[in-house]
Amino acid sequence: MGKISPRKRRTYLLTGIIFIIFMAAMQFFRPEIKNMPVTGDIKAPAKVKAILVKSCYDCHSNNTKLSWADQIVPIYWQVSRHVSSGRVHLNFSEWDKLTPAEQKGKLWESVNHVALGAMPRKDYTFFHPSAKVTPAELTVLKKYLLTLVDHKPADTSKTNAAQSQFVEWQHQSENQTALPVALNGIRYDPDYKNWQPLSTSERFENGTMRVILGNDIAIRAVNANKIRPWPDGARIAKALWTQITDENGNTRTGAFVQLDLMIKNSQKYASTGGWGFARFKTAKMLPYGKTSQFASECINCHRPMKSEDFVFTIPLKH
Amino acid sequence: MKIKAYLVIAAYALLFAACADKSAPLEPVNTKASLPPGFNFSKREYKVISSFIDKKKGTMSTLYGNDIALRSAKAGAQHHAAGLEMALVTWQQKPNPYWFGNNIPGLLLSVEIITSDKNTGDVAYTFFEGQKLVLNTHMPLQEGRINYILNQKPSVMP
Repeated sequence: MGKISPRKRRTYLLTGIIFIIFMAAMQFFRPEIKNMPVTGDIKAPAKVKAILVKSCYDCHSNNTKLSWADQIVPIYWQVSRHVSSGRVHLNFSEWDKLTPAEQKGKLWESVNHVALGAMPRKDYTFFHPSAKVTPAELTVLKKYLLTLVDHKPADTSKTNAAQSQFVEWQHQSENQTALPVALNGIRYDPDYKNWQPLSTSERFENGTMRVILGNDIAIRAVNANKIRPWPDGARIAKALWTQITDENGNTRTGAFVQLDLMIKNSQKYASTGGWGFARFKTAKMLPYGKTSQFASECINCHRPMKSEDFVFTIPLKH
Repeated sequence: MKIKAYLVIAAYALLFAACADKSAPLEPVNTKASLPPGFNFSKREYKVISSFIDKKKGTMSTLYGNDIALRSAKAGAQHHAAGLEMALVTWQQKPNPYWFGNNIPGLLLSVEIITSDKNTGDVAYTFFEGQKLVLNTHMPLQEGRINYILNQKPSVMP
């Protein structure tokens, strides 16, 4: 290092002092991270619970424990944002607010996000390395999830529901008057049943089976191996049914559960990964979502698949 | 000055380490499950009628058909539909590498085609086996397969 002139040295010193005063002053602007009461903590085997507590609870419970490094502004601002949005999407302390089906769904989604390396967040484990989930711990979580799977053959309530829905569908006229529209403006697309399939899927975790189909643009993109990213105008539809399984393991589709849509328009849907998401539930095609921002739930689950353009399906060619 | 350079490099290294991505993406297309291009399945322009899983065998199948097949399946009149064309494609199941709790098509196992003559209504059955879909004329119990396929109810698709 060469000689610094007295004037330069004074400038550096002054800048340094102003910076320190500024940083000290910032510390007083602290959005509150409140530890709300625990209304119903998740119940799980001790080994599983221990992993959840150490790796997830700081952002996904009402028992956030901040380290000294977390308290420093501006890091604290980021921490506060993560904790509030983390709790909105998943809160193990308010587990009783979810239905049993929702609880199971959230657990499978959480473990899958861990398996995909998306959670716990790398910027969190950088400062909290003990929160990392080890491969052995991931195995514990997966083994626990497998104990939650329902292997029972279909009961009469399931088969009756499927049969009555089938009879109603048989007698329905082909023409529909008005197509349901989701709160983000995406319309139910009845054309999906004329598209070519991209794949099929068995979600044994929640007892559904699915056919995933693509419109012409989507199929052309698959055939040309140009799906990272998918082209604008591509539409992917996923139709879901319950599974009706007999004692011999033969499974057929039961009641239609929902239609999920993904419509690619990188500009229009930039805030949700370039995809417009919508869901229409039951054979009555009721649009899913309570607000126009419902699709943030969709993109949050799809987010770990960013390098596959947010699509979990690995299409096959016909 | 060297210390400064090392500090900058260390800072960038930490940044990359902190932002490290998950393992590299797999192939974009499910090649083992894909039908051979020479089979020209898509040229038949069939639609999806229904789908099935055999949990004991660990296989999954999709039933496709032409418009006559679709209409007759919905009406429960497959056995008497002249001009009907159906295809049952079967795959081995494999776990989805991107989602634990999900099984997807793995290796392509077979395609069974059923057609009924548009004049006589006579039903013919053809069996294509393996990933290369080689024609196998020695498939036993054809009548059983024909009945099985023609008896399947379509999936509700509103």
